[in-house]
Parts: sequence; C-alpha cells; structure tokens
Amino acid sequence: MDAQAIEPLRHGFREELDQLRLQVELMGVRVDENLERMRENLRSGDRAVAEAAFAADNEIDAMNVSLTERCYLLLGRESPVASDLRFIVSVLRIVSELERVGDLALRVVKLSPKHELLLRSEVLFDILVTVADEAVDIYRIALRAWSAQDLGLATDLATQNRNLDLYYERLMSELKRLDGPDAVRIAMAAFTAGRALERIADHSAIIGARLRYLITGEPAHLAAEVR
Amino acid sequence: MALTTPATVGPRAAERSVADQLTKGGADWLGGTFLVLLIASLGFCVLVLVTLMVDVIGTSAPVFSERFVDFMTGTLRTRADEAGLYQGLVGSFWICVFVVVLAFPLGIGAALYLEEYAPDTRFSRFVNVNIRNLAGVPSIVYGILGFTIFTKALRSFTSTGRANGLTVMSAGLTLAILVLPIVIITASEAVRAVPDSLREAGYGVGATRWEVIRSHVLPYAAPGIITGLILSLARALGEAAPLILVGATTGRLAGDPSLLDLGQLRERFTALPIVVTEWAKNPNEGFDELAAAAIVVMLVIVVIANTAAILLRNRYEKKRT
Amino acid sequence: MSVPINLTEPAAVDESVSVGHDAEGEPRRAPAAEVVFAVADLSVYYGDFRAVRDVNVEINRHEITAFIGPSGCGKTTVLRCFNRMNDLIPTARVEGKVTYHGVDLYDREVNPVEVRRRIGMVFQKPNPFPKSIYENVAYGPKVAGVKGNMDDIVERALHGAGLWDEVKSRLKASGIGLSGGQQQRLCIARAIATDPEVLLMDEPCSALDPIATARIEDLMQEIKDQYTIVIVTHNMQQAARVSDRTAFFTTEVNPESDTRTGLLVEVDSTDKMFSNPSDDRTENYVTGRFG
Repeated sequence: MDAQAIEPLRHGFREELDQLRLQVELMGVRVDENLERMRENLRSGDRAVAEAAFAADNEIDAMNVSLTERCYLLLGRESPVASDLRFIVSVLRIVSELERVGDLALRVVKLSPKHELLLRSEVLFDILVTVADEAVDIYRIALRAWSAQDLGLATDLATQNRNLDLYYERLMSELKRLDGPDAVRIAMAAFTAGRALERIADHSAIIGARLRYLITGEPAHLAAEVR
Repeated sequence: MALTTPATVGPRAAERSVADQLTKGGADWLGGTFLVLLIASLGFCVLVLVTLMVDVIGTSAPVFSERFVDFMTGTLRTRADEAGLYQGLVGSFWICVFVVVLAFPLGIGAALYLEEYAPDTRFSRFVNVNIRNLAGVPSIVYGILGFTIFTKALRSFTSTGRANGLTVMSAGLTLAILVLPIVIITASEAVRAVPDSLREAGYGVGATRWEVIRSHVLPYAAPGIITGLILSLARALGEAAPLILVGATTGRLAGDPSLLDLGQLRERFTALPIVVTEWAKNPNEGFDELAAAAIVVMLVIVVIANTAAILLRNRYEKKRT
Repeated sequence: MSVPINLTEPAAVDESVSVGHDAEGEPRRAPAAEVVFAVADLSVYYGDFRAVRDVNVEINRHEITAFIGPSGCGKTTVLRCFNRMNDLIPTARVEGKVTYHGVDLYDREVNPVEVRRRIGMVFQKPNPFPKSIYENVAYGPKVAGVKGNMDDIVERALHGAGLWDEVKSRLKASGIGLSGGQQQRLCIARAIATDPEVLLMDEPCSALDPIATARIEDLMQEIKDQYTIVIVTHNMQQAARVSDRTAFFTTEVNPESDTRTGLLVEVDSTDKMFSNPSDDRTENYVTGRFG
C-alpha cells in the first residue's frame, strides 16, 4: 500500500455504517435480555416477567423496522459496493433473524399459563431447561461474534449444535414416554417449547453464516437457511 | 467585508442595513475617465483617416470626373492631362500574379510541413525563429536581395537584353520572397489553431496523415490562411522600396502591350506605388490630382481585396460551425 | 438438526470463467472466451517519464472490459496503446508487448492506419467533424476505400448507434449542431462505420447528462455481441453496470523524482471486483474509502 498519506473519504457514510453496526448489536442485546426473561419464565412461570417480555418484544419489532428502513435509505443514497454492500445486505438479513429469535422466545413465554403442566415430569422439565440454556448460549456466541465481527466465532456457530441436538433427541424420546391423563397436553406444550428453542439455535447459526458472508464475501454462505 | 445584520434590531432595519451596504459606493469615476480616453483615441484615429480620405478624394475628384476612362487606360506621360495609370495597373497586376503563384503555395506548404510534419527539434525551432525574423526585415533589404539575384545574377532568365534585368519578373520574384515569411507565419498560426481533437478524430477512423490534413486541418484553418494570403497580397501591392531597386520605371515607359502578353514580363515595367511616388514628386501642375487619383485607385483595390477575403473567410467559417 | 451450509469447493476448471452463482450457491461457469488483446509487461514512457508500468491484461472477444482507477493511473494511456494512438505524441514510447490476435501491434511492419480501421475509438469529449452528419459517418469507409453503397453503410452505422430515427431526415445538417448526447452517438456511428472488430471508449459519457449516458450504456449492451469493447471510466457504477470484466489501476509515487507512475492492480470479473475484490487497494477505491 502506498506509503503516502491517503485521506479517508465519505466520512458521513462511514459513521452511518458504524452506527448501524452498533444498533444491530443493541438490538441483539435486547433480544438477549428477552431470552433471559424467557429462561426465567420457564423456570418460575412468573407472570410479571412474561409481561415484561411482551413489552420488550414490541421494542425489538420497532427496532427491526427502523433498522431495515435505514438500510434501504443507505442503499439508495450511497450506492455501496464490495464490503459496504455486503455489510448492509448482511445487516438486513441479520436484523430479520434477530427478530425471529425474539418471536421464538416469545412463543416459549406464551406457554407460561401451562407452566404447572411442564413441572409435572421432572425429567422432562430438566431436559427442557437444559435445552433452553444451550440455545441461549449458542445465541450468545452469535451476539459476541457480531459485536467483535469475529470470523472464528462465526465459524464455530456452524458446529455448535451438536449438544443441543442430543438434548433435543432426549426430549423427544421423553415425550414419547409420557403417560397419564394429561400426557398429550404436556407433550404438546413441551414440544412447542422444545421446537422453539431448537429454532433459536438454528437462527443463531444462520446469523453466523451471514456474518461469514459479510467478512469473507464467499457466496456459499448466502445459502444458509433453516430447513 | 461581511454583510452584518445587528441582532438587536428588527427585520425592517436589517433589510435597510443590507440595502445600504449593497447600494453604497458612488459612480466609477476612474473607469469612466478611462472609457472617455479610449473613445478619444479611437476618435482621433478615425479623424485622421477621414481627413486623409477626404483630402485625397477631394484632390482626385477632377481627374475622375473629367477623364476617368482616359486616366485608367493612359500611359505615363510628361503632361498631366494625358498621363494615365494603365501601365502601373498592369505592372502591379503581374506582380500580384507572381505572389499568388509562388508565395501562396510555397508558403502554405512550408507552414504545413513545419506544423504537421516536422519533429520538434532544435533545428526546426531555429527555422521557425528565423522565419519570424525574416518577416520583420525592412523591405529595402529584400529590394537589395532582388536586385542582386534577379536583376543581376539571373538577368538572362528574368530579362530581355535591353531591359537589363529591371523587369516585372524580377519585381514579382522579389516581392514573392518578401511576402513569403508572412504567408508562412499566418498559415502556421491558422494551422496551429486547429484543435487537436479534430486531428485525433481523423486519425481515429484510420485516415493517413495527409488525409487528415487535407480533409480536416486545411478546411478548418482556411479562414485564417485566407486572411493571411490577402494580407500579404495587400502588402505586395503597396511596397515601393524594393520596386525602386528592381527598376520600376519612373519616367515614360515605352510599349503598350495588352494585359495578357507574357512577353512583357521580361521587359521594363512600372507599378502603382512607383507611379504614385513619381506623380507626387512632380512639381508640375496637375500631378497632385493624378497622384491622389492613383492613391484612390489603390485604396479601392485594397478594399475590394479585403472584402473578398472577408467574404471567403465567412464562407469557410460557416462551414466549420 | 444442524443448518446445512454449502461449503463445496468450486470445480477447478482452468479455462472457464465465473459468471455468478446459482440458487444453491454453486458458481456458474461459462465456456472459455477468445482473447483479442494480450498485453504483457507493458510500460509506457513519455520521454523519460514512465507513465504506467508492468501491465498484464487480456481482453476477451464480445466482452466489455472496463478500466477504472484514479486520475493519472495510466488507464487512458494503456487504452490508446490498443490502436496506436500514442504514436501521435512524439515523446511516447512503449516497452513490452501488445498483441492483437497474436500479432504484435508495435511491430515495425504493422501499419497504424490499418490498425485504426479495425480498432475504432470514441473520445471523451464528442468530436464530430465540422461536416454534415452523412459525411461524418461516410468519412472512415471512404478513406478506407470501402466499396459498396455508401448510403447503406451510413444508414447501418447510424442504426447501430441508435441515432438513425433522430437524424434520418436531416443527414445533410451539420454534425456540430446536434446535442451533446447525439454528437457522441454520431461519433460512435462514425467509429463503427468502418466495421471494426473492437471499440475503444475513453470516458465516453463523462461530458453527457444522465439520460444521454443511459442511452449510450444501453447501446453498449445492444452492440456487445458484434464488437469487443474496452471502456475507460471514472464512474464506478457505470463500470459495474456495463462491463463483464474490470481492470483496476492505481498510482504509486516514485520517491526519487516525486512523480507518480500508474500500474495495474487487479483484473477480474466485474461481479467479483464489486462484491469481493482480492486486493485491498481495489476495495478501498471501489468503496470510496480512500482517495
């Protein structure tokens, strides 16, 4: 690179991109807070926590809309190319993934009226809580990866699901073993929760893939999706 | 000084303050005086010209009103009421022919070579400087040159035995050489003024250098070149000093051949500037009027030539837009 | 259930070129292109000053190749090597090789006039001849000694430049009287009248308004199948829109003489250059990050 001083240009645009990165991180933190509330609610069934989670989700949805609009504005105004374009496109898709995670967390929280059902089988409840912990941990890796724009962490996300898959398998087999008058109702609630948690992990892995595309520009990472 | 509007005063006052600042500054006295001086200079020049014209035309009036045809077709005589301009006209005509046939093609060709073909070396720059110097050389020097070469050295070529080299041909050749640097310089300037984008366009479609010059450079430079040609022709018409040395006759001139007789080229001759000089010097009565009349004829010829030049130039300029 | 992420390696096919990716993220490959110009280790000097150095690039048939880069990086200089227009500058000197279908363009036997009949050029500022529209277009074929119905040739060229409908009723009118965009299309018609194989365009739209620019960009796409086009442009979006391959040039300071010499940094498919270029300098230039 030329030893002579090269002046940085497009200051306004650079600052906008920085702001965007921070805002995405902020949204990720809000989602993380709601995941925490989801965990809390899963353990305790606390009504107040559930209310707080609903309120926070509105905020998350609003952030989704405003960040999406800001991306469209930047696309139209700045004609970004190369890494700038990849950044804005990735932000669009990651913000959408974050919103999904928020929705999925809420899906678990909505089960809180049926909380005492889930408590009926101790084994089932334990596995459910473990799956929740695992999913939230995976999400947190994604959040850290974004905050640091770290390719290593993003790559790790592709392989983190192993443990979760095992727990999920166990959950499914426990469900099949359920017995008793409310077995079906318990199974349905547990299944809904387990599925949502598993999806949270999947979407976190997708966030990792989007980040990999942003950093490396390899089109292969564009293909990540939940099957 | 920045326009300031005091914050403490209301909007109306602010407007007034801006208005004050914009409308201040009185009339431009210095500029006005300068303009008056310029107009005065122009007026003075015009006055001088008009005075000269009025004087000349006035003095020549009797000649034209009384014996116009006779004057134009008459030969040199000792008596004012018989003398005519014809031989002067013929001599000047043939000198102009020489200039046109020799100086114009050679000059334009040299200019084209210098501007389009010659590489930018010390030698070519040296040649250019020298041509410019030549244009400034006093015409008497050309007269000496012409006398030495055409009148004396090349006498057998330029003259019949009895004319001793003092012929139209000598004069024509001399004046052609005198005028050559002017033609080269003005043609060079005209060619240099052709935008490079035009040449590039020509080369870009696969034209050779000569095709680019012929189809694009020359037509574009034509107005400038033509102006230069007419300037040099007018100069050739008016130069007296070389003609003196090369032997334009001042007294009577024998012979009265038709205009197109080529034999006269190698015989003694006279030309308009010399005729004018002689008549003006002649103390006898009536020659003042003749001189004035001859001057008027020369002026008319120059005006016609300039008009033709302007018309031609306009025609080529219109083609170029 | 883990997320399926495709990490398949692209097939290692030497001669094919990448033309984007399909729905599964697999790279699409096209059959090999024929090379029209091959530039090897090209340096161009003006007197002692080296304007551009060490250029290695290939121009493929029926493709639009864009040269981009900051001012003074030598992209126009290299472009003008392709049709020997640098010959017009007395102090210009070329080292290295520029071959056209395998023939060294700077070989002593090669006639530059013949070169320019086969490799046409359109300049930055429209420069039609101060003659009629008809004569402008007919001039090239005329000096090339092309036999055949000149009216047809002119009409075909004007059609090819997208100008026929606008001027067919006034072919005798002066070319200079047209608008800027029309003048440039006239220059394009003039260039294609000699039926060249290649069109070199030196910032053809920089003097034109956006609508005229769009017209010419459309035209380039339309005529791409018949010609090979190399375009120098300052407008990155234009390069991205219009070209198949892009070559990025930059300048470097010569410490001893405090002058700048241009050099070629990267050549690749346009899609790659504008989504994920290999060189940092390219990235900095296309994103406008550094001046």
